[in-house]
Amino acid sequence: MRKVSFILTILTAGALMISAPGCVDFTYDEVEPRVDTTTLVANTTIADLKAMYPGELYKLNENTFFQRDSIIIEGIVTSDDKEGNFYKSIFIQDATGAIELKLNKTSLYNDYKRGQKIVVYCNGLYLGDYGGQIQLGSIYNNNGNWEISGLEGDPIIKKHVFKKGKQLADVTPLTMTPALLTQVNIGKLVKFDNVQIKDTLSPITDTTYTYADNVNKVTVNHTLVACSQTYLSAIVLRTSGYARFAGTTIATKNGSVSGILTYYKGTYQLLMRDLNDINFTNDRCQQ
Amino acid sequence: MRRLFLMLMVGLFYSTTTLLAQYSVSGYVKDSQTGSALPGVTVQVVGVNQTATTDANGYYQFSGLQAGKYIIDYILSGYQTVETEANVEGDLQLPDVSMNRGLTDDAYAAFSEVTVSLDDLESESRGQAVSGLLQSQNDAFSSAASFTFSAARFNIRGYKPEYSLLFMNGVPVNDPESGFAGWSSWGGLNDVTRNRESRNGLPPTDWSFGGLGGATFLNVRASQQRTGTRISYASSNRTYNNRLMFTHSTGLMSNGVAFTISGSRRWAEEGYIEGTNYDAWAYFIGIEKKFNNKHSVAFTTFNAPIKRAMQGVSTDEAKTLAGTNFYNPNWGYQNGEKRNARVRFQQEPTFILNHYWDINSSLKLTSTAGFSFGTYQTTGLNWYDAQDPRPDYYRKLPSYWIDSDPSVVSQIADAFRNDPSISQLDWDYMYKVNYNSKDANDSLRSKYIVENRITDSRQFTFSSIVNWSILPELKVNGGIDASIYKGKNYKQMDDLLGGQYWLDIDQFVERDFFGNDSLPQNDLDNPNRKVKVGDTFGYSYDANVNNGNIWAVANYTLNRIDLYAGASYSYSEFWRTGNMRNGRFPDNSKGDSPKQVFNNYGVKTGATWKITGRHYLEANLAYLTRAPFFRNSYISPRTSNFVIPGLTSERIAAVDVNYNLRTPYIKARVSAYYTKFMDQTELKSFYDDTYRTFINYTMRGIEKVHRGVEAGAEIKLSTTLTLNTAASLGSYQFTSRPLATVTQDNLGTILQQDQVVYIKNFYVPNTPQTAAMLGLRYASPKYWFLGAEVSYYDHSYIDFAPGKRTAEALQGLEPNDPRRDALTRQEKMPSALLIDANIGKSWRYKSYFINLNFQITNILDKTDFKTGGFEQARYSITEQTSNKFPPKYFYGFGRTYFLILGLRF
Repeated sequence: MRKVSFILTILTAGALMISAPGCVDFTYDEVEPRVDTTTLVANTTIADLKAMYPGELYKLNENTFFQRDSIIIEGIVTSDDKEGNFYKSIFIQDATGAIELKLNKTSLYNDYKRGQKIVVYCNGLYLGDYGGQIQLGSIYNNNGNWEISGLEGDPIIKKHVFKKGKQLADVTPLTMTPALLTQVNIGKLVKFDNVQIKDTLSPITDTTYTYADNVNKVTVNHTLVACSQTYLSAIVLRTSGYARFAGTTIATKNGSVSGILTYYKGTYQLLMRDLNDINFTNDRCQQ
Repeated sequence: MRRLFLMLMVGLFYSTTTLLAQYSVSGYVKDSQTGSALPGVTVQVVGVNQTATTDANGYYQFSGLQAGKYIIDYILSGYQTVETEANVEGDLQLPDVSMNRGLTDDAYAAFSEVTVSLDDLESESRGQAVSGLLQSQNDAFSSAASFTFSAARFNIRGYKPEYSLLFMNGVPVNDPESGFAGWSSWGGLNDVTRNRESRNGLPPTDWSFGGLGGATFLNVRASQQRTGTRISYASSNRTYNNRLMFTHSTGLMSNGVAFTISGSRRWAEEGYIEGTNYDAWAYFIGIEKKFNNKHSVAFTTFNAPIKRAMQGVSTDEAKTLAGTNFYNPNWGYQNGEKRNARVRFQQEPTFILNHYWDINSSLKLTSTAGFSFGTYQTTGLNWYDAQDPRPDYYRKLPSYWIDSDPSVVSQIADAFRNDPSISQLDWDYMYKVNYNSKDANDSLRSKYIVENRITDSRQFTFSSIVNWSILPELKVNGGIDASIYKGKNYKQMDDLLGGQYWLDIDQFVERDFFGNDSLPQNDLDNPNRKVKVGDTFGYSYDANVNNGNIWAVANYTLNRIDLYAGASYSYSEFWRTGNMRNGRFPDNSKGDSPKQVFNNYGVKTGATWKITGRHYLEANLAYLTRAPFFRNSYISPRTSNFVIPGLTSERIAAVDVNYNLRTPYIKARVSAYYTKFMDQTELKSFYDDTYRTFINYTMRGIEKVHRGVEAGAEIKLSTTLTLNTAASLGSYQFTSRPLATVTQDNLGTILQQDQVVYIKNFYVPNTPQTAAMLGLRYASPKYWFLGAEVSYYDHSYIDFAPGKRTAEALQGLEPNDPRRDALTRQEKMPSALLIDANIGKSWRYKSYFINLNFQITNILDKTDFKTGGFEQARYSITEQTSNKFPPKYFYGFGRTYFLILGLRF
């Protein structure tokens, strides 16, 4: 009798344990690749949006444009922070113009690749400027002064910035001429042909300059010169000390360089995305 | 005082001059209901250093008792303790003792197991042992400490669990790498680990020199397991929801063989904490063969594989937003299913061979050989050049955006409250980033991965213990033991989350030394290796730890005074064997490191003064030295061989005085203790804002003093009503200003040397220094019981970040600057009051016994009970505040239940 109960017990216990309801699951199906898209359609051009900037911090709202309640722009991403020369911002452009969109998030290239089409729902965002270059973003209180800043992380970015489709567009850089170096083209992907870096040798160390100071993480401006054309204002090739190529010695020859055209207090600045943007293979010209 | 001295002198004189004859006392113990012999009963002569365990026939024997009146306790888990008085005037066989199945004891034993899983809270430390099962027999204070106080992470006398030694059938089971006692290696085997002998505090036992905080011996001999079959089902809402367990023991059969088998499963699809699933199995097989009256051999093997998703700790800000103190940032939805990033898997198949040799009636030799091989794995997220995926990362919480537009801040808070892709891990996002991460060759380089940090260990142990009654009044116990341990520590790729490979480099070094190809390599001999699922990467090293130990204790029994004195010596050596050549330390990472060798010793002595048969005064004195553990000895064991500066053995001096009262109605103990720890070292690793990298912070020259009083009493108010009370008033404080060395983890650069850490008078963190309880138990003669307890905890302090208590951190702050206080003050946690209750009943049908026990803990559902916490080491150097990096806390569970239905036959 005891033996029988014992065997029965073990059998029952064993069966119960193995067949216990809800076997505990520690495995998961992979997330399938998905394409983010949105049904939002632009109703405002970037040029129109920038035109609304009154010269001081301005909140975009349903009264900004007389004709429409919501402000939606659409553009293609041209900047790339993978190499670290851009920080917490992306540049987008449409047929009419380009604008810097400030996002308080790093490694943005993981989300917005070059050529990604995005839609920005602008209501509630601010227009501001930094040294004369118009920016789209949020605001923050810098010791009593409200200033333009990046959208405050995913919860806010999710509400305003939407990727549209998977197809990456190829943006051809605008080839610059002295006539094109104007406010309208700020923020666009541009290309300068037949230029060279003015000073290549450091008078202090007598070595070739690097793009920036990667040791002290200091941004460096190098002046670009074109021998064949005369630009009315200076153009600098600006590189962050945090860029991965900051410590690379500069290209000393002559050729073409592309990047995002930015502007700070009268100076046009070119920000390369990576070293593929510079192609100096010709002999230097007489400055 | 003079009177006491006089009494002491008289006592000594009396005992040394009167050499009385020594007698032996023996007897049998049986079950009151079935009449069958009860093996494994601990028989204890109160106040005298004499214990015995009944054999398979229920027989026990003492020798060396002098004439006099004694109280003898018979203790067995699951039975009511029996107390008898014996008047010894010659060799004596006591009448048979019948023990009643005790409802309450049984229930306590069953409930106690649950407390072990408090280690779910620990993120890194290996198997944070909780003293939940350490129960010194028949001591009201100790049982309160193990059953009631364990909910508050109470440590007896404030000692870390590693100061208590744990043996399984003679094999020491404290992890040689870290010293932790691995209670979870036999989780779910409650039925067979009931027989245990514990000793709290300093005195040695028959089978061990003991540590500072006592020793516990789990006796799993098949011949001493309770005969019969037991099957039980338990339901709970704690770490698991269901438990099934069965055990069968044959007892010692006529052919001299005893056999025990046990198995269990515990599981939950989701435990008390959201996103924690749990799956644990266990088996146990024990065989013992008694060849003759002199020789018995036992073989035991068991394993308890446990896989469980872990709870994470977070800041109060995140918990408030989430609306619960049990917010768990470790999980997130993947395809609509909750997936936890931190999953722990552990198991340790163990094999033990024992030889019991009764050479003659006064000499016993017990020899043990053990082998175990285990694995201990914890998964975790890792990422490269991508946003920190943790939902409670400080930059994601509203407080980080304090200077933003208030309406935006409230939107962030709302998102955290309502959007699980914000408040929890966002697996979909991580997959999306990986799918979007094509390299130059069109392969997907994963930015987010799940990695598995693994320790695979194997250990051989050998020990021999001799118990020799040289003279009736002189008994000597001694032993030798040795262990050889190797732990392989490495990381393995668990999930590439949609990507195709992970590049094995250190991203912080890459960032700081961009363009240098060899420095960032984790495996310089295989540079820029593309890691696939199942590959080892990151680090790989072996911890080699060998220990040898020899000890002896002499016990001398006089008429009024028992004395003991003992000594131990231990040899420890350990070294690191690197299996990867690290790019930062090409010459100090691969191969065998120099050996670290330590010789240590301990001495203990003590005396018990038997004032009368009911009053005992006991004092113990110990001085011990202890080798540092491997885990605390290397600055960065994952990458290099460097040991921390000033690595040395720690020293401990301890003294305690105890008064025991034993009357038929009151059992009580009051103790006072003073312990001083010296030359301790501590190692912490964390992200530092100044250096923008991970640093290792080592402190040496730590001194602590633990002192206080503890008291416990069990008072029989009537035959059915018992009152239990216990209290511990302690003060555990740092008494030195340690010196810190700060090194950069990935480069080994010394950033600060001999930085003075101003933590003198700080409190030893994360254990209540005040604890008290009051309990009432009604046990009906009709086989049911009801009990309730109130417990109170106070003076618990959170763990502090030493870097904030330095001159460097406070530089430039005026004496009255509030930031000075904010950086240096050690936070005290609020006091708490908890109420628990339990009820149980048992029925008998022929030879079948059915038990039903129900326990509710924290009846008041107090969900804001902080049981522990720690400051984040990170703080803003420029602003000199840690506002953005507030402390993180552990909270005790709210109201939970545990229901057990058991059948025994």
